[in-house]
Amino acid sequence: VLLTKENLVSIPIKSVIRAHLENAADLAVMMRGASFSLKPVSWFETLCQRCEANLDGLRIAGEYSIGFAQELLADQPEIATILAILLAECAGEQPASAQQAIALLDHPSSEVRDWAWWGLRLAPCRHIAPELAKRALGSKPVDACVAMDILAFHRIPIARPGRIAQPDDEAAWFFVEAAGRSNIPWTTDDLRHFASHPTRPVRQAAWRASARRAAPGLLAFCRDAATRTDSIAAEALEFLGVVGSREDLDLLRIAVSHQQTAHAALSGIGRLGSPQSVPFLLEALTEPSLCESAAAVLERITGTKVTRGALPTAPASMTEDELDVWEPIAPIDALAAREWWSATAGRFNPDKQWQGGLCMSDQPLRDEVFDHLPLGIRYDIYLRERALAAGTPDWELETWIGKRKKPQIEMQGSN
Amino acid sequence: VNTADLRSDGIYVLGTGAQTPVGRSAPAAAAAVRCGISAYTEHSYLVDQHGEPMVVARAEWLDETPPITDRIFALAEDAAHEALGPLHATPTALRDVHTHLALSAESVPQSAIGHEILQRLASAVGVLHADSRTEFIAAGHAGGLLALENAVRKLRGGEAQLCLVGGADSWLDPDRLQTLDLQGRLHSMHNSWGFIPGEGAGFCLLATGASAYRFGLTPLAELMAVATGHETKLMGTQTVCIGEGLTAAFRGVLDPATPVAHSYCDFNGETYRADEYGFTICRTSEFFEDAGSFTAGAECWGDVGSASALLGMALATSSWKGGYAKGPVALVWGSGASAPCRGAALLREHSAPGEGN
Repeated sequence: VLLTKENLVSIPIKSVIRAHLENAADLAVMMRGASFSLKPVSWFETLCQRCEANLDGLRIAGEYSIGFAQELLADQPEIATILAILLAECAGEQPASAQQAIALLDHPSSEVRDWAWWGLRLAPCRHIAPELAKRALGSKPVDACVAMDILAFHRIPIARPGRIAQPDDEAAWFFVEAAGRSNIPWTTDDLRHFASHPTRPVRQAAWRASARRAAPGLLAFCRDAATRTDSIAAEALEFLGVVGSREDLDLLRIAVSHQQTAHAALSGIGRLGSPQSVPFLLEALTEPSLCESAAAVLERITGTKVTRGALPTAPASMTEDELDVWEPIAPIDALAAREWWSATAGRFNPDKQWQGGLCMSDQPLRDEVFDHLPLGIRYDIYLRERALAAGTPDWELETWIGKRKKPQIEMQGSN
Repeated sequence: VNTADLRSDGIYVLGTGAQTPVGRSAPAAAAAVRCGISAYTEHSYLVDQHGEPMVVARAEWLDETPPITDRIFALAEDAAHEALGPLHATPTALRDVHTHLALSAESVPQSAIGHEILQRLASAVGVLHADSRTEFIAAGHAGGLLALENAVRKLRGGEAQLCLVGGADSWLDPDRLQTLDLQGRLHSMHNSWGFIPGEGAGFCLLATGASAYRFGLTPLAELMAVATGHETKLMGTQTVCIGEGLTAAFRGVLDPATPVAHSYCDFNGETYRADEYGFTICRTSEFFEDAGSFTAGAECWGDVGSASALLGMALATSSWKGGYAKGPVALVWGSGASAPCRGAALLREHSAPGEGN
């Protein structure tokens, strides 16, 4: 009998493994931040399935995939996402892989570090958690905060509750993200502090973290901040749409009349989703500087595209190269939009909240509603429920589609 | 071992093997196909009649120079090894493996060469027999399904306990490629409806439920039915194929109680094959959950001739093993250009609900 286990082992084909690696990395890159977009859930689901399929191809090739990913890292730093996932997955059988995965966070290239962090958010965390926990106790703020963020993303309790002293912009963002998902103390004072941070992503993260933690005084502070004229106002106006009510419409309407806050306030109106704002939005359609934002908000609330006229013809003076990149925008037909609303308004109960043409006022997290909303709208609705409705489950909406509603499984597995 | 729910007279797939330009094992090839990874590449020196490099799907680990029979043998040997893998812990089972191998008449024009490949395979794999327990079939793309049909007959008749069924083929012979080019069948910038020549081998190990139980082997899938048909209106003749042969093969396996969730199609890019399937589906669509749900491996590994059907089976079993299948029932079919044989096989996931006793 010549059959042996050894000669049954598949030999990987380098070009195919490379394609799996590059495809998986590209897809994982697209997954990052997608949860804040207005793409449909089905799009994200396909993204996850395709990424998972390529990861399967890499798992079949085992260590060869890891070795090849390490080779490609210098030229394609985004492959660090996939390398981190593969290393974390095999850390159970090969403990050294856990160290290798964590070591990616110390890579000389900042891009590799960044993509490795994203990979570790997506990876199973159970076997790398002890290493991360050690790192979270370290003295370098950014390293500690990155580790805390990954642990918190997987809902693993953090042994170092408390503010990191003097975090830089990067560390501050990781800290706030971690605080929103963990046992780190988080109060309105923390919101006040980080919502005034000079960096916009940190300010946005602070509002999300407060909603996730149902921080007391969130709504009052949001209303107060929305009336200010400094940099804090824009995010507050946007977030007032998430946690506010139709009583806040006047405040938002006034903010639309100020050039500095107009677009943030319109965004807040869209998130608020009150049909009572529609007449105001129809007026805004006639304002050249606001019409596109107002149209997007109308579409967000009603789920219906605003009527537009014919596409403009290209100016005769345009060269072929200019034509290649020319993206004409059809003009909004404000009159037709008004007529449409006159005929349709009865469908929308003015006392309720609407998003994408669906009523959000009654148990919006149930599958029949929630799963039909675009990704970014889902996120806002979830944050609203989390901030205002006691007992809202702890979901993770920035991860794989299949794991979004059960992040606590990872935490349980690590104990 | 999950053998408790085996039907003693059922036919089960115990192992699969695949050697393709996109993967050197069944799971690796299936993962690449699932991800749409293609091995299409320009031939290193052959150009078509328009002066463009020919595009082929080549097993890159094989030298370009060996004769075609050596290529076919190399592919078949590794795929057979993989399919026989489940037996490596069951030495007694190895004594009686019957072999049915499909090769193409074009790549192996003389039956003596086919038998030679079988003999080499028997010698290399070590458990096969180059005697009356082996069969060599040359019936085009559907040859693998004809070989499967013969194997099932043997298993059901008690003539064999275990059957290894395979298909191996390669178009990557300069003479074959040039002939295809002259016939206008090569896919190129100038011919959108041609095909990309490929090469590969697919094998599967079959047994009855009773044998699987006796040897303690867990099946990958149940082969619910296999059938072949005969097409009289062949490609390149003054006739119009309306899928009669393929319809006969489909009707031989389809069952309204087990609608097909996904099909593994023997498409290769030529319109003849697509039209044939279209006519066939028009007559049999009620047996499908969604006739548009299919995979065509040739999109990734090119046209692999008589290996195509067995590779389709490897894709189906890998999808169940990997947990990404569209449903519990899959159809694999094979057609052909110059050979009249048409074939189809219906497979069911082993652990699917509704399994017999």
